[in-house]
Amino acid sequence: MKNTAFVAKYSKLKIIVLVLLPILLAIVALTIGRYPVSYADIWKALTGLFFAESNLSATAHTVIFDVRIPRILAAIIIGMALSVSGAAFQGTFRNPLVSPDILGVSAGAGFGATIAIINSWGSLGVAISAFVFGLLAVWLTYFIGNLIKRSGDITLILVLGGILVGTIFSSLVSLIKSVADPYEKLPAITYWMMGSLGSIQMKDIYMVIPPMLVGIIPLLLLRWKLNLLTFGDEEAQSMGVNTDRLRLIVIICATLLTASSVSISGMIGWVGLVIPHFARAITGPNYRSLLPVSMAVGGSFLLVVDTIARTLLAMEIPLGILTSLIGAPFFIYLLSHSRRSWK
Amino acid sequence: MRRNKVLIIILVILLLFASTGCQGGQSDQGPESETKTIMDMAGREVEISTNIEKVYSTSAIGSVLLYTLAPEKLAGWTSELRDSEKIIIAPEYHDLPSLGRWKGSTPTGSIEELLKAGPDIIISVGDVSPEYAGDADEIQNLTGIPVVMVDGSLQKTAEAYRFLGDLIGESERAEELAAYSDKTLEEISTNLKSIGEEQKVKVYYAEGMEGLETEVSGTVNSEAFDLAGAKNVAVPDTPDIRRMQVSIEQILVWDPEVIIISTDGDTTHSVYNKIKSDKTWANITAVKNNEVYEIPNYPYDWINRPPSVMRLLGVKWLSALLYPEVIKTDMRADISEFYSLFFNYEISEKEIEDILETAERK
Repeated sequence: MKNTAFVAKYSKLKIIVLVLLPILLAIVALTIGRYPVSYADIWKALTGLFFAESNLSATAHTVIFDVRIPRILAAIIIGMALSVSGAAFQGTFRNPLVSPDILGVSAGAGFGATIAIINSWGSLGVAISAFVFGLLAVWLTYFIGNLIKRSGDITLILVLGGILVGTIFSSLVSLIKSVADPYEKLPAITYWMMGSLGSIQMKDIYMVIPPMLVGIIPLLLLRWKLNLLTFGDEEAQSMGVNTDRLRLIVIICATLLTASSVSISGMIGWVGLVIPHFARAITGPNYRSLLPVSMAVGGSFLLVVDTIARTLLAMEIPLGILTSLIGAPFFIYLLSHSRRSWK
Repeated sequence: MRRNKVLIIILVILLLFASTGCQGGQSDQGPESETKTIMDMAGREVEISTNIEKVYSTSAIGSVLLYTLAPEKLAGWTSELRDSEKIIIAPEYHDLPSLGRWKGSTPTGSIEELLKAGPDIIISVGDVSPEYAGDADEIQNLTGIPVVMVDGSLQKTAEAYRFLGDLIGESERAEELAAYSDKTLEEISTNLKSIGEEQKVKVYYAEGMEGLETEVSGTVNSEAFDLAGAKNVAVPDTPDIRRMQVSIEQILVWDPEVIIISTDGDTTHSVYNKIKSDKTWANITAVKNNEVYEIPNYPYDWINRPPSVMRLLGVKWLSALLYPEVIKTDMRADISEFYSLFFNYEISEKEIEDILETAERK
């Protein structure tokens, strides 16, 4: 008996709120930090973008443009990427416990980063190596999956392959860690594994934007088809969908998103697992709205957590640890309070 | 019922293993050698042989200490020597076995390899607090070899040399090194007396791939900064923190006057170049005034990681760098003397210039 006009209006409001949320949070985050920058300075800096004259102190300028803005942007896009990728994977694998690293991308990326750190390839080397090995790990999983698939459930085999590949890569990381120089390399590896946005610069963002766009655009365009995948292969095929091809596209896109994120931030757990559930609680399981909502919520969530990580103490709190500490209890809450189907 | 049976069988097997393990430990004790009981630097009583031929150290800190004192008594290294170590360490010790780091119950080395190398004692150099004493006890129980704890703090270097020298019958050599340690640290602290608290130079110690990790003041890892009279900007805001990650914003707030970079053995100067060229670092006083230096690392870091006796030279270098008007010393001569005395290595002028390339005020 609901008034359809009201519903339409309500959902429009929801959309506006969700679009505005990350933007508003970004503005708030811009004003918070360890270095004192006044609101007036921030206003000056932002208006200075449009009117050339700017009498801002050099340090304040650096803090706003070279420290906070890149970091805020990175938190938002990485939060978005991980959440979308998690949502897409959960649908494809028809499993609510799937996170973006189900196919071994994080473990692979961790291995790549470890190798780069051991060989002193520098921060760019670490990012590239993490990205490449992340993709390689997923390719391996997919390869194994196709190798052993007979008539069985391909998604199950892929998950199994992901566990295998993930285990192998994380064992290799442990092996390297056990022989790594304890004074020089080991701390660097450990810190990378904990995830941080502390050294993000604009050039890192420029670097990951292209692969992220390649990953996110097809997912957004195909998002209504993702609904069909959640019904199961047979039903989807009966509706004329080539499920194998669609699944491959989803895996490639979601992997690109995760690998690009991990390559510049290190491991950030739980975002890709929890946020899609939260988004489902807001908007329901339809992927048409689920993906955009996941993006908005995920970007906002990671921005808030990262702002806490960089401001609470003089030390940086490792971001990956904070997202897990906040994410896990939140997940339990969601599971116990949500009656909706996860599909 | 069935599950219970399985449990019982597992328990029995475990018990069997445990009991044979104990026997193995007991049968290891040599029957003939004479022993004495000593008190180690953590206050533990340890029974050791009166004639010590081979010593193993659980970490690189101790290996360096031992090598400088009595290289022929080293039972092995904790890890394969790096190329830079092979330059300084005499060739006859290059092929000593690599037996791993030993800390608590998770050693990286193999017990059997360690027993094969046959050290008479194991030394654990570093913190001598009760928690580390527990680790030492554990290694002792695990290997059946007495573990002696040696205080690894920089200020106690002389004491550590004398203690270890007495223990292994190398008192003469130990006295020589201890005297140098005492003299160096005393000279520096006397000369620094004229520097008041508010005249101290604010120093940021940059570690990690991005220079965004640091070591808080008051730990064994930052002791060299404290002794060199530096005002370490990183003060812990929660207890029990040693190494921490910091944001560039926090460094801007601290605004250090000098930045000291740990190169992590990386010879490409990547952090050094980044700090000097990156615009986020550009407004820091140290960068503006060109007061950015790399810690010499040849073959070990002079300041930390591992916090070894190299720090004696490191403190001299750092104090002279920070307070050139009170610490007047000929660094080149100091370097020659140190490498010659401690490592029996005659360092060339070219090596010294390489070491000091990014470690001196130009």
